[in-house]
Amino acid sequence: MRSFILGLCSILFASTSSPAKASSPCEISGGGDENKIEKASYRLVFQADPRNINVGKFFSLKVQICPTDGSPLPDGLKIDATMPMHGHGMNYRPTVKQTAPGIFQAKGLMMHMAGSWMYRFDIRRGDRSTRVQTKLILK
Amino acid sequence: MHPVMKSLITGILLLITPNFSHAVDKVSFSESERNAILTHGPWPPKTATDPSNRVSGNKSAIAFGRELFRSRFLSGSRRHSCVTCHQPNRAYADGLALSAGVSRVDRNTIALANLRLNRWYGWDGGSDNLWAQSIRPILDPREMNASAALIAKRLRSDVPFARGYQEIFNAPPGTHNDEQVMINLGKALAAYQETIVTPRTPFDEFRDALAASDKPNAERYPAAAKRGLKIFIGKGKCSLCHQGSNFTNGEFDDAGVRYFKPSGGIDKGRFGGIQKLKKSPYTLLGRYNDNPRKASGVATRHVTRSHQSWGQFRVPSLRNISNTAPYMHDGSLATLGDVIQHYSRLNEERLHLDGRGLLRRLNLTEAEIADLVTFLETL
Repeated sequence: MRSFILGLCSILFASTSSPAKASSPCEISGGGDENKIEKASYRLVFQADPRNINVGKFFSLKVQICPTDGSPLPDGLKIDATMPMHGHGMNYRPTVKQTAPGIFQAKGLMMHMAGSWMYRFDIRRGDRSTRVQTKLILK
Repeated sequence: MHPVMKSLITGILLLITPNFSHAVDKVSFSESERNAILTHGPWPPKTATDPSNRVSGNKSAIAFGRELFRSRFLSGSRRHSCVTCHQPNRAYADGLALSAGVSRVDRNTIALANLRLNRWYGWDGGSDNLWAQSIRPILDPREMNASAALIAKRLRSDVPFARGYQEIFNAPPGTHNDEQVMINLGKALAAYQETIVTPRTPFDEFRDALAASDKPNAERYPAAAKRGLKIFIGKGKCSLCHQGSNFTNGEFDDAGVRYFKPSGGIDKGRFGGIQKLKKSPYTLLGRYNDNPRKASGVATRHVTRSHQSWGQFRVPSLRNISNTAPYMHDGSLATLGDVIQHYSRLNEERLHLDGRGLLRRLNLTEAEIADLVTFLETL
């Protein structure tokens, strides 16, 4: 079964948001259909492997985070996904490893139902955590 | 024509044509409905051998596993076999609400079919592979009540079975320890059970006709089944969980069935299954996985237990469902009509707070329930 990401919208939770210009390109190499989110002081780019996420199939995510205000790179990242309309999340907890400064690899993601999902990225720098969310429709 | 004569003729036609209103009903599907239907095929899907089981797909192992499956050799008292609960003439189930081996257990026997498509085994997913699931009932005191030591001892002294074992595993059972013998027998049993695949069905013919835009063949599918299918992928939301060609997402959900075990206490469902899995030495992350890279262990590595796991049970495949009554993890619903009535009149108060967004009382009419049953009978 093939799935298609139909829509992408970022939902910004903390205080106010403004699309800031990136201080670096912040592109994952080899991409072309990367998903990008800009929030306050971050630009976040992510790409799924395999590119087409299928219902009930495991996938990984490569995520690059670039500060847009010249501040230091984040120390850590947590990733989760939920179905807000159904009130549940994934049945699996992904593991996230930093593979290079600002670049993270998440493994063990699996969306077990078609419908509206919300990716949740918690970006940590020092003792501050910033949540960035983005929606995807899985068919 | 005189109006009285006209209504008389119409009345006669209605009397001699059963389900007249249904017969003239043309059921059509929108583009998005068509796409949803196509996701439930093709059937059968291509499957590979199990990389965690080096004898998966091995003809000798399949034959040996079939013999073991039917033999009473694997039970402590020699009075039970796998067939006691998984009867070939009952779709590899037993027709009982609750399984009964040495004594009665608290769950319904799951029909065995299409097992290569599973990620998890058992109602609570306590096993992540078929060979571990195959030895579980042998060791369970309520089911076959044997032990690895007993079975290994028997095997070593049974010439035909020992010869069969040696042919497949390239060593006499005397050279393997009890646990290795048990695991290897589980792998032979798994090799056999992987061959149990349900045949193509009227639904598959309809689905493929739809895919090929073959109208004459698509028309052969009964109108009632089409109406039921429309509910299944539409307002019934059944396909959210019963998705794909095997009509299951292979995961777990709370379907609003009782938590209480007939023998007393609470059935933890998936919560308990994950507990068992994490303690088991026989998972895809363990030493008995024949794939050195343990690549197939991704689900086991990442599965997580949460409060939502309480009272969740595996979403069963709906293939061959009309032959596997009674239904649900505790066998509490006798017929397919009862199952649909259950969802139609669902007690929403009974569900997890988190589950409320997903399951809603469907309030189906009697005609809609009948159509859904007709559809399910075509799977």
